[in-house]
Parts: sequence; structure tokens; C-alpha cells
Amino acid sequence: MNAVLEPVASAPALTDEDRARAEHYAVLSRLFSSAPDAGFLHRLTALGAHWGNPESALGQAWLTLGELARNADPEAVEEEYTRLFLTIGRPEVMLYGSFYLAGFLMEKPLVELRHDLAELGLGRRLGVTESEDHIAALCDVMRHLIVTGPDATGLARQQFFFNRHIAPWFEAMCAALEGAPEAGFYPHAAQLVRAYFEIERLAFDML
Amino acid sequence: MNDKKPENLKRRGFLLAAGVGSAGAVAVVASGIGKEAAKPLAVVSADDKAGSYRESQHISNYYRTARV
Repeated sequence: MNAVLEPVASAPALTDEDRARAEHYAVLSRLFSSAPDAGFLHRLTALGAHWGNPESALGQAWLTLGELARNADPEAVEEEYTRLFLTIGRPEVMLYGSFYLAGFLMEKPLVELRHDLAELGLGRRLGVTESEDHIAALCDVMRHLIVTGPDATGLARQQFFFNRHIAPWFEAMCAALEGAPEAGFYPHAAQLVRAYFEIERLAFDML
Repeated sequence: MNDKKPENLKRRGFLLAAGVGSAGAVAVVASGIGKEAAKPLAVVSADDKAGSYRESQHISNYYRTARV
């Protein structure tokens, strides 16, 4: 084949909806990978203005989170993040799939996830201490699969990964976040997670 | 292409109706994504030993380009 065309073929053009999907996964990953700082809260406000829409569940979640981010005190949000997710011993809310699927951390679902990641040629970076079933890491994988494989084969790969490693437990995590005591930010972040993943699930079912 | 298949049109229509459509205000992000498509944030091929997903160059690039 024509070698000149190869670079084009290896960088597939994304449709608008795949771009939007990749951006949603990036935002969800950032929400949970570490405490939001002032810059990220500012961007959430802008994204809320863009994606906010009272007529859809996702749009409503964006409106709420955008408004919350606009008025949020970064220090208070950081404190909430630390209290909910980083408490030594037993955090108030777990962000790891194994916990919801098997009842414990580092369980069999994690072994299966590592197997699937190996098949995809993916692995954890050196220095990352969170296990691969952290919600932020799974969002990163999905985003990677979207931007590298928007064709039919890639979509099937996305569908397999989502259905196996995210769909079975995100609702349980969202329920835990929504019920977190004295939390003002993450229960609303959970509504964005729930609304977006529900759309993803339904959309994959249409393949 | 596969995009022309009816079921994919249905899926696209659903995503657009559900609000997962226009990248609009953050469209500039997409060019950043495209450029670094081969490099995910949290999980990368085993030969990449630098950094962590919390503070990768990629994620800082992403949010730099996400400015609206």
C-alpha cells in the first residue's frame, strides 16, 4: 500500500460524539484521580456552561456540577476528596471496582482486568500506587480506546471493556458517593458519572 | 465505512440526543487528544516508565488546551 498514507491511517479522525465521549472520560478521570484544584474547578464551570442542558439527565448533571464548581472553595473540595477517598484504613467511599464486585480490594476481578489490559498491551506506569481497577484508571483506558480505535473493531473493544470492567459496578459506587455523609461536591459528581455511564451503556447496546 | 451502517447511525443519533455531541467550546481539546492518541493517561505500554497518571504531561497538556 501507499506508505505516505500510513500516518493518516494510524491517527483516525474522531467524530464529534467520539470527541465528546473522550472528553467526558478525561473529565471523569480527573475528578477522581486527585482533588480538584482551582484551575480544574474553573474548567468544570466552563464545561458546565457548554454541556449543561435542563432537558437531559446528563445536561442537568453538568448544570449542577458547573454551578457547584463556580462557587466551590478549592480547599473545601480538597478536604472532601481526602476525607472520602484517602482516609487511612477504611475510606468512606471506595473507588476500586474489586471492592464492589468481590467485596474486597485486590480480588479476582482485578486479576481479570489485568489480563484484559495485558491483551490490550496496557499496564500500570511505574510509580502509580493505585491498582488498575481505580475508576480514574478505567476512564483513562476507555479514553485511550476511543481515541485510538473509533472504527467498528475499536468500538467492539470499547464495548467489551466497558461492559466487563465498568458497567457491573459504577451504580454501586455512585450510590456510595451520593450517600456520603457531609459531602457537598462528590454526590453531584456521582450524578454526572451515573448519567454519562448510563448513556454509554445504552449506546453500546445499540451496536 | 462502518459509520454508514444503520445501527451506528442510530447510536450516533442517540448520543447526540443524550447530549454527548458537539465538542464545541472545548473542541480545541480534541486536537490535543489526537496528537497524543497513542498515550493514555493512567496505563501505558510497559516501556514507558515515567511519571504517573496524576501528573502526566499528557493530562497537563489536556487541561492546558481545554482552556476556553
